[in-house]
Amino acid sequence: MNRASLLQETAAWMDTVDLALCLFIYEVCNDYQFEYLSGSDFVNFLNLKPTGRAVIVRPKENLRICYMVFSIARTIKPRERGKLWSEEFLKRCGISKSYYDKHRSDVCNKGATKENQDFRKSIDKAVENARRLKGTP
Amino acid sequence: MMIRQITRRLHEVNTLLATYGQGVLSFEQVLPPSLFYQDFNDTNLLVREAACLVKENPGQLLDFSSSLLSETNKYLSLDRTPLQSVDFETLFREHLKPFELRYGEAKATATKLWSEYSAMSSRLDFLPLDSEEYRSLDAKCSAAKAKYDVAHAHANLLYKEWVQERDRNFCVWCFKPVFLDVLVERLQGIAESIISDIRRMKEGEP
Repeated sequence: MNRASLLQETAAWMDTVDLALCLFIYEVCNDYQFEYLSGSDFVNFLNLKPTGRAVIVRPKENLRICYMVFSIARTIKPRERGKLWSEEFLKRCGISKSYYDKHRSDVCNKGATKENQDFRKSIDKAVENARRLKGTP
Repeated sequence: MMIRQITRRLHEVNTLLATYGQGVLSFEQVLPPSLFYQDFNDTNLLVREAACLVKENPGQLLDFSSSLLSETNKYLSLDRTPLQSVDFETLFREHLKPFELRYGEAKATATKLWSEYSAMSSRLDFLPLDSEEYRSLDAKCSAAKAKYDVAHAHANLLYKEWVQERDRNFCVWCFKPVFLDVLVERLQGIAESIISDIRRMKEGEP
């Protein structure tokens, strides 16, 4: 869609991260990796839009958030857009790019804790559910 | 076009919530909200459609948006506790049970027929080809195989039906009332923005 279209205010509602995926991720991360947020605020936050209340990343959750970002970025097309989205989102979470590059797949490692393994499964399931809901192969 | 159907479908959900009495919602009752979420969660598509329609027929787009705004306002003002107390996963499983049972029974029947055919076929291997017993058993064996083939095809058909029903109603299994609330809040925002954009266009503002 041409962003300079007739519907300028409406165009601001365009999302980068699919709504269904945002909400499946919300079920996993809200009140765990992030302090409680309303569903709409969480969707806005994932889409780099203003939120009604400030988003607070919970302590010691950066590793898991990196995997969440990594998984979401892979669903954004084209790939370059996903990369830009992840860079901007990490900034909002206060996570450095170097930390992300080093740790984004740590929860998949053989030696990952049970909590991290479970988190990985939940995120993978969220991505899979969003894909199935869309009926995409 | 999504924009032409969305208001009518949301109206169906609102009617369900407004007319719902007491007791637990059935599978058939939870289908409309689940399907609504499945069919209209792509809000980017709605924005794209609006951008096209505003060039062709802004008056019609304004009508659609006003109706959508009205239905979203109605939804958000209704008591949604009936939906919040539903265990969607259990309803989904209960709905699928008969399909699973039918398939299980057909599979058991086919397996039994296969065992019968298999036993006859094994016995044939030990009989002289020119014996009367062979000829008689060979005919029975062919009949048993034909019976098994029919039962096997029937079991396959029921399996496909079960899988189709499971996939078709996936939206019920994964549904959460908060998903619909967020979607409707966004639809409300989009409808308001369209109306405001069209008003600005009419007034000739940039």
